Amino acid sequence: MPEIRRVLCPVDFSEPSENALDYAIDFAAKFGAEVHLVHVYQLPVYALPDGAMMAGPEFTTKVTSELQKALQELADRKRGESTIETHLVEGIPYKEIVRLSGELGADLVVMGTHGRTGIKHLLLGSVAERVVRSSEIPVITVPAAGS
Amino acid sequence: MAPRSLLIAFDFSEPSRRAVAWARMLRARLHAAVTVVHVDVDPLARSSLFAEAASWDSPKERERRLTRLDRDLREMVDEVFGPDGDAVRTMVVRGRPVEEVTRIALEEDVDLVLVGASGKDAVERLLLGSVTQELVRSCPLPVLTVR
Repeated sequence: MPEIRRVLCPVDFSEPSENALDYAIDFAAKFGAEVHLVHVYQLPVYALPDGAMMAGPEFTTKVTSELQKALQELADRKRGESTIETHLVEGIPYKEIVRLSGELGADLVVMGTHGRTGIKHLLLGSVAERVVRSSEIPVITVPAAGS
Repeated sequence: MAPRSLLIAFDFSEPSRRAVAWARMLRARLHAAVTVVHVDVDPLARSSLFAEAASWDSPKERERRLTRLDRDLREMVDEVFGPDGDAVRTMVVRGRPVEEVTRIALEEDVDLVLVGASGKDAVERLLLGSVTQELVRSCPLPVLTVR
């Protein structure tokens, strides 16, 4: 029989993703499972005639430390009785989510659909679809409330 | 928020059998009610143009077919759930899978829909089944997709 020991929950700090996190925490609690929070970010790269231009180290450091802080705050706010670990990863969201789920030996991914853009299926919505498409482990997609 | 009532969209494919195994585990751990539904796709209902037209098969053939599917579904449930199979509800309906699954889920106060990642179709075997993709997109309830 399948077991649930580790639940991976990708978040983008939007309300639907926070709903999904609440769902993940509640679900994990029933199984005494750990919750692993992950945020995947991408740094801008500009294509110029003379080659690519990337954000400088100062900007990069600022972005990552702000994201780390936001992720930690979210975990602290939601923790309660459960074990929550955080992961901040740079890269293409769905690929990193699937890779991390394998690396952690997660048993389940729980993620929201309809991310922070007003347009349905953009961002988290389409990330969720891609994760469902390429994940080896089961994925629970949690729709935004009232969608 | 942990699920209390599960609905499995079952199509006799391997991934959907694994979804049933998950439902069995969730039932054991969460004491959730389980309903298994198989939607017999009306070939003409695939196209909205012909949805109202007569079906391929005669009423008699259709009845025989539904009775057989009902029996196959019941056998599968009894095999997986053993003595607990009696508590699991089975339903065979005819129509369009996403519509029927969503309708039944809402009518029966289901709070988690389980589905296999790919369908029975040769085309769908490698990819995410079109029914699954549409459910993830449009179902107002959380969907657990199992590969």
